[in-house]
Amino acid sequence: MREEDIYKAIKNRSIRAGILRTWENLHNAVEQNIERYRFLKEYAKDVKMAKLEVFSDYDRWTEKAMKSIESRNKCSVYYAEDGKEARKIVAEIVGRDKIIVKAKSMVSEEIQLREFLQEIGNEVWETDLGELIVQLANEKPMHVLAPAIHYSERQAAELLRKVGVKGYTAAELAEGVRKFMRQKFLLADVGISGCNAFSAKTGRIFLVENEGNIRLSTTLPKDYIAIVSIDKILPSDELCLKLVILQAAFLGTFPPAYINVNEPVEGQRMHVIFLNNGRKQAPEFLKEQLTCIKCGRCQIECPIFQITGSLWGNVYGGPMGMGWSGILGEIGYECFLSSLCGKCKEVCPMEIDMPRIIRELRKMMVRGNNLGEV
Amino acid sequence: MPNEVLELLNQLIETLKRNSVEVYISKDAERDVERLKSEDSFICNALSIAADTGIVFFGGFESRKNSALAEHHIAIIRRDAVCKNVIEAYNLAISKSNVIFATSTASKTGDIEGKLIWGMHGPKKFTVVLEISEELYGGIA
Repeated sequence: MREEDIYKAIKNRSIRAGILRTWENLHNAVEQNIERYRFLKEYAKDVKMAKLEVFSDYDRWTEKAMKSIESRNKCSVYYAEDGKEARKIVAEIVGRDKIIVKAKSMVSEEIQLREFLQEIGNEVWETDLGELIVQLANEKPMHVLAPAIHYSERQAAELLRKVGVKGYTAAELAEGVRKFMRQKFLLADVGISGCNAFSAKTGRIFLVENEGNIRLSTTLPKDYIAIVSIDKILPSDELCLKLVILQAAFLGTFPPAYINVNEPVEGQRMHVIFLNNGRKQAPEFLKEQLTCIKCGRCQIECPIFQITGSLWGNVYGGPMGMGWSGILGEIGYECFLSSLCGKCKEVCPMEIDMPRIIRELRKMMVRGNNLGEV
Repeated sequence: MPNEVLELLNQLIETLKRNSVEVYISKDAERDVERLKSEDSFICNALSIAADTGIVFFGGFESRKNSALAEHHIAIIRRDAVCKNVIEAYNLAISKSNVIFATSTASKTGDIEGKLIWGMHGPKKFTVVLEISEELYGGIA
């Protein structure tokens, strides 16, 4: 994060307006979900406990997860220690001159996969509407699950014109993108997704969404690549299902329009890449951050994020972004921007103590240590 | 027993309506679905449904593909597929098919200024035809 980006963000009224609009849309929806679906709190406890168990022995659980899917036909399984290794594996699978449809995935942002695949000569499309707008603007997502909240209808229309989508209203633009992207789905050689939860018991990949782009991206192409960061491994299908339900409920869009349960099938080659990228090496005080389900509620509710958006942070912005930046070894002075008001911890379904994590990161910055020396 | 079943079915119908799903109650789904189908629709039998959330589970890779491409997805749900909650529904679905997927409403997005738009990439409309017996039919609210 650059200091000038923060000043830019503070002066950019559309960021604040977009985030507050999203807060107005989603805040009450989450509260209603918690009230209506009383099982959510119990699910959150189960998922957190399971995640902590997996973290206690990442090597064993990663091996178990890999074995669960290795034995299946039509599936290749890989392990990547970092982003560079993951990109190399994807490049070997994909090659060049391919049409690639991508589902929105923060882990692919983490390893800058789209940019890399374009550089080596592929046509790559973000298929989520918000993510496509961000791609065309050549910017980073403003929120972990709602990437284009800072763009007005008019700005979105201008950006979408770059790919020939005409219209002025959100409905006209969505219809235009539907037609444009349908052709890409039908022509695509490769589909790429992340993973919300991976069942170490059965090798199934759980992905939750509302638009249907993940379902099309992971179903239509002959080759399907799933990138599974190892923090997504859970012991069973039931826990995976609980996690995707929690993610949708705490974002505010529940029930989700689609829950995808992907696994190797006849007629499609599946490639699953397990990625570490700093997770196993995370210092003790950051382990709790690895229970994060990336619902993005801490971002929307945070008074600092409401001014700066994801420009406060690196790949992951806002309160959750501080912990994740620490895990990825990218933390800088941005951790001093937090007001430590504690709202993030209060609203987090996993009850992650982000203020504590941020205080620890600050101590390290003051001491001049890097995370590897802890 | 019929009272418990009726309560469950009425809860399901209320949930589906809250999820903006078009619901038809039928004594003969195969017959009634003929009136709904068009060249842009895809009809399939659901493996299970959760009454508390309205999440519907389906089976098969081809169904997953065809339902995602259709403009109108029509689901036929029979009484024995109705479960109390999503975990029960998942377990029932996975006992019937190896490849499963779930849908609870039509495709939607709120990515531009938070405005809700139906039919982003998947079906613009999702309809449930709930088949129940003559005995239960009269008890539906």
